[in-house]
Amino acid sequence: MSAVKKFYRNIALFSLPVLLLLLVWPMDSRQQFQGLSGDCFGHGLWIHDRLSDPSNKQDIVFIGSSRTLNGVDDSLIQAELPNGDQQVLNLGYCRLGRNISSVLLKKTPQAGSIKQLVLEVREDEDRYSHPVFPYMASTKEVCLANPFFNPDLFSDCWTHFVYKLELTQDQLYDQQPLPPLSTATFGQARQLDTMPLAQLEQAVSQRRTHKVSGWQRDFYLNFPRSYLQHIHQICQDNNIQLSFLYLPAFGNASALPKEANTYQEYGDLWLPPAALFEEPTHWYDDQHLNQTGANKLSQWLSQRLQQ
Amino acid sequence: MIFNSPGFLLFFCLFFHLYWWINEKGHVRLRNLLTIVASYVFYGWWDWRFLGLIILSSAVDFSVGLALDKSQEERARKQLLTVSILVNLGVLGFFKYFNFFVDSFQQLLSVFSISLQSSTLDIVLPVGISFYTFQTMSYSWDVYRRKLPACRDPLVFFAFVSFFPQLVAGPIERAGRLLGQFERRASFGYQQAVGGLRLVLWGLFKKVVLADNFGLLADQLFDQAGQGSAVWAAAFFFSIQIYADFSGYSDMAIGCARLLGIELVQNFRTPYFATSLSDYWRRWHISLSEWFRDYVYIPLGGNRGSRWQVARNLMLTFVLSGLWHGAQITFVLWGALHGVFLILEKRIPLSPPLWLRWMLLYVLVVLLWLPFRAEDSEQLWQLCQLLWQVEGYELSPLWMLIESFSVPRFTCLLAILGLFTAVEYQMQRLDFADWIGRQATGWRWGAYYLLATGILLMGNFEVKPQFIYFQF
Repeated sequence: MSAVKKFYRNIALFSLPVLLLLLVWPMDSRQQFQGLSGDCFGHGLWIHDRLSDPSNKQDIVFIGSSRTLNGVDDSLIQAELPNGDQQVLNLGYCRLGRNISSVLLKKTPQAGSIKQLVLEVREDEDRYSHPVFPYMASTKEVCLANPFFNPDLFSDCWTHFVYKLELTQDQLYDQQPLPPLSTATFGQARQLDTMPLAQLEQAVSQRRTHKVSGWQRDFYLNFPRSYLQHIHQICQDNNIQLSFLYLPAFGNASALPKEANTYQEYGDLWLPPAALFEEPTHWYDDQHLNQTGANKLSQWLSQRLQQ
Repeated sequence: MIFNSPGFLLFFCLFFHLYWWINEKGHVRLRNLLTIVASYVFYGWWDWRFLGLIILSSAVDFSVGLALDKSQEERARKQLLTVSILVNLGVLGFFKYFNFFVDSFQQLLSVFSISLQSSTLDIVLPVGISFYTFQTMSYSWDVYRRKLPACRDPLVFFAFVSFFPQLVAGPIERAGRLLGQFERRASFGYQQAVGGLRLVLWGLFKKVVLADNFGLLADQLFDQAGQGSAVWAAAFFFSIQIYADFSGYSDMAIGCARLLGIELVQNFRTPYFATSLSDYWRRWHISLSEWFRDYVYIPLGGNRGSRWQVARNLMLTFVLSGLWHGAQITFVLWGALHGVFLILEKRIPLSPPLWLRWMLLYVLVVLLWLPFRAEDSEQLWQLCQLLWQVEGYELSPLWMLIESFSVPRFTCLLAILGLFTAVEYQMQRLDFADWIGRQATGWRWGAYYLLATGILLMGNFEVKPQFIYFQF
């Protein structure tokens, strides 16, 4: 055997047990959701507790970014729905990355059966992995996260394993009790302030757009598209009705989302009235609706859900 | 790019394969070109703008070397050497010492009630500048002294200056050792590569388990030091942090180079087991100590001359060594204090038992880390005042810190430190790769897994990867 081959063989022999151990080492899921890096409104643990509580169910689930988190008032929608025992749940989580939608959806059916999933869509799909994905997802989900088109695969795997080790170390040495179980039913994060029109317009003018088209765009979008397909598959397998809700930023309401055709392949595309997004008093900032805007949108959504 | 980062792992794996593939084909010049490109990518990861400085330093010394080789006239040769020194020290002086000298000059004038209106510049210190400028400068000096023929292949020379494993924090290599290794085709040696991996593993263990954990404790103690006990503990923790951090980096650098078939100089030889200060300096940051010995101390006269001349040479060398570490009066003081104690050691020959000598020296070295670690002279003064305040010595602040750090974790850390000290004691003058290589196979593999387990279960992954010596 050549020296190089022997060298590689011994590296493999040494590393394999370590890697295998890292792969199969269990994580406490509550601890996992509690320690999310850059947690959004402290929502990580709430999501875990809400979905793990067998007494809670969810019939209609909204999944998306902070636009959903701020803009969809799940308590209002639930109250407006005629059939009083339908539970509505807002699982919006800040920042972009389609893969987190899949993680949340997979976690949801464990706690009860969903009838309808409403997935947020924006002007365009994001090509990157969600920053919280390596913390929230299981080892299998992270390692098999569409390896051919995932630009963050390596860093996500690294972050995930380091996080796993940190959790193990916490269990070994710190033994600090986790916070008490959260009992809140609804997930919306309310924003009460309104951004002045001049600031909204300034924010719109300062927006940067990365224009990528043609084969490059197709290549990049393989990542979110594969997750959309995956989500669609889960919905089909579990008899969940899939709809897509368009939530544009201020000033973008008139145009359709770029991936509209893809969404329509998998389900209904819901387009709230443009006037709702054009009204400056509905905005907390140029990306997020305030509570006034959320009320209007939620009323529209409750009507849409009744159709 | 930092050795203990995922980016470096990917970068090195790719480079390793390409490097050996090209080397096996016999394309030595192409291999050197690849080394240069990879080294520039590695360096440019921090700030690509400073690549110009490495290229300038390399180009100047390469040209000076060629010209020195051609020229026979002593005056012209001296002028050429001056060009090399001026360019290298000029670059170093501007980026590292400009603000320090302006501030110091202003302070000096203010003593005589003269106020000078001048402003300092917002200068960013390029990573590793002190290391590679010293390396290139020593090459020109060696060619000038006819110790070394000039390098005629620019690819070899540029690879020698920019070789990424040792580019940003040493060891500071000598051209005589390294140039030849780039000139010839390397052959992959199993034992050499395994030795490299052993050093990488050992260095990583020192960095993430010892340096980053003790560093966390030391930082908190230095920030909140309100009592003498806290200062003593902080100094002790820092002594472990800086040793594990820098020697860990050096081990990883030497290990990475060894994986590429390149041998670098050993930079540490269990310095905390030294029993005299001069012995300590033969074991601590060896490549820098030897550089100062060969290019400052000996040219100044070295051990020749009267006692006062030798003392002067020592002081100058150590003050310059302190200044090399940083443009701050605390570093100068650190160097000067080492110089003073070295002179005293030479002048006052005492022969206490070996264990007492070792203990006294260790305490002295730990205390001398205070000026090195202090943010400024004001903090140093506060720390020194606290150190000798015997009244109100309490262990409660220390205990609170340990509790916040986690008592079981701290206990494990102390146990690991004990084990580490025992291994270092066994190693003595060998490096870890050689020492572990002499053990039986079962012990060896057990040690590898023990190190890996230590890294996984005790490594501090929460701190941002950084090495102390990068700032120099």
